[in-house]
Amino acid sequence: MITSALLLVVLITVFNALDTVSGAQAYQTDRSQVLDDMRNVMNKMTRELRQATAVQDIPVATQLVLTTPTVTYTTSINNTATAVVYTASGTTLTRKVGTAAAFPVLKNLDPTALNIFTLRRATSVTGVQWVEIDLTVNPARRPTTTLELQSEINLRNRTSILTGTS
Amino acid sequence: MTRLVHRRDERGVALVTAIMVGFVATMLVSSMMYVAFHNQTSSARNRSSGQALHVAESGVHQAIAYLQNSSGVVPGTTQTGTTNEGTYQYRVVAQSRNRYQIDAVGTVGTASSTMASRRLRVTMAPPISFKYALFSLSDVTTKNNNVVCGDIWANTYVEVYNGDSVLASTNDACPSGGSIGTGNVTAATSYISMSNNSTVQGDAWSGGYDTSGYGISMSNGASIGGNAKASSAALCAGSAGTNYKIGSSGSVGGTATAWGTITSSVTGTSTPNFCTPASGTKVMPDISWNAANYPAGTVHEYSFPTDYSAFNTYISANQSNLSGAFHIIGGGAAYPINLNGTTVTGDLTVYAEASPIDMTTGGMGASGSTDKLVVLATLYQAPATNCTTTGGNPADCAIGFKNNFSMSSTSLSGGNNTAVLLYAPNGPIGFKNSTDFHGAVYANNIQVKNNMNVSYDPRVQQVVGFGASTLDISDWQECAPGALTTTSCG
Repeated sequence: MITSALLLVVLITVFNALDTVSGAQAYQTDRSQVLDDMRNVMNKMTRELRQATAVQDIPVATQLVLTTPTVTYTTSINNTATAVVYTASGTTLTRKVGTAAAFPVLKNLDPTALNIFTLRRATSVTGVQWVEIDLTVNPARRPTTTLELQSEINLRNRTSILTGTS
Repeated sequence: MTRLVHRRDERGVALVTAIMVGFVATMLVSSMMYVAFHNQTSSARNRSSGQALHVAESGVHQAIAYLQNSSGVVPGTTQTGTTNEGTYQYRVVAQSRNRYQIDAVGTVGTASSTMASRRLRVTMAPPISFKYALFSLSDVTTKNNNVVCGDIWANTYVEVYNGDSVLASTNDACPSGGSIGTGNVTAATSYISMSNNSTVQGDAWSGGYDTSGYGISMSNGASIGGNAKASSAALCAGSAGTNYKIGSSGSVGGTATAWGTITSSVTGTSTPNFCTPASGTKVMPDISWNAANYPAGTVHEYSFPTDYSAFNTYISANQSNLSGAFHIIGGGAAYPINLNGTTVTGDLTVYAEASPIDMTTGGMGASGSTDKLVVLATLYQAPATNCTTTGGNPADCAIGFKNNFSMSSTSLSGGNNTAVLLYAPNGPIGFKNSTDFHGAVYANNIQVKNNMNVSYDPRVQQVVGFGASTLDISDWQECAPGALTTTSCG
């Protein structure tokens, strides 16, 4: 009887630990998966923007910096210049390639940090010179946490959009 | 007996419990270790990938340094190098007209799980210098039935005479293959004058006004297809309505904005008495001579007046088959470079430091359908007053031009397939009678008369020897991972 009671206590403790740790493990797995997704999206955007031949400009001529939830650029995809649009809306980041429909590439964005993209100009040359990306995601599993990745991209083809001296 | 049985029944329970606990603990630890290892590997690989890009770029810059040191002679084999982060390989492939393709691969890490390799392809080319069909440091004056496909820029005024047209490169009347130019006309600090039935297909933008106060003066039948803007280069000095007018006839297809009144017909929004700042003036691209920029064996250098006779003898002997790069040192008005009656059969560059270039009596032609680039450049100084639309002596124009290249009207690569760049930063360039060509004209002043057809040709956009540097990175692409010699860059 005593042994059974002790066994019961031990089992309850073990299963309690199992539940706690498996929850933590699921949380860790989810966090790891979200981080992988964020890295993939960030790497893809960074690579494409780095070699972009045209990036949407800041509409106000005198403005040097613009933070925005959307970015449009032309980049080489399979050796073809292609227009790509990323848009953060609600809690989703979507990607649109050419005339195809936009599709989600990242979910659970932090709805309070949707201005993901920062376009930066320089004073002496034409057009956007740098793009910063700030991805903030809240993984679905509790406890609530925030993952944030940042990238600053130096546009390598920016000289090709300059107007030259004359 | 019963107690003994109970003892036997309880025996081993602790072991079973320990095994269960151990199993659960093992499962938990291994799964947590898996996640931890995954995160660690993923981070390491991501880090390696970022470093591999920088290592590959080190290879690209090493290749650029190699080209600078070798004056454009490419390395014969694949080159390798190392940085603190990893190793790189690069190779350089020379292309026509001073273009170079650099392929580089950067590799970081040794363990397969964390190793990363990235491949770059960079194209080096002369900087973008020429984008207007006609560019003048002062005025552009056209007269009698001329057609310009592309854009016109003048730091002072532009006169578009009777029946003249400035068209977008996509216009049906323009040859195909010219993707640049929308038929815009800009007079940065002065006026645009459009005579009867003249056409500007794109936008017209002025920064000053004529003696009648018009920023954009339009006669009967004159039309602007895009927007018209009469701005003020004088920071909106004076009162509205007096000057900077658009009128008094003609039509504007887009919007019209003027610091003065607007009396032309306007399809879009008309905004009179509204001051906008003018565009500001532009400078011409610099020119520099370096014999190493041209293919070996094609470079000819002459010092005038000593070599004047030898130069003329060479031109005379090769006038039906002219090509190569000619550097004329010295000279002056008395020693014009006479290219009358010559026929170009390959890439030709003539760079004169002090002599005018004359083709006013026999013109210049071209032969064959191979792709050819003709660059005629002179630093000769001449006043604009004598080089007019009525012609003039050779010494009056920095470049005097007559006759044509038999250009195709349907394609830039048709006909004799020749692109022409005329460059004279210190003197005027004058054209008279049927001067047809594809290319661009950049001069201190431009005078055009009678049936000239010029279409902007993108082949003159990047020409070696012009601009702030010899070569620039004109295209940067990251290719799919692969061997250095992989042809495609998907």
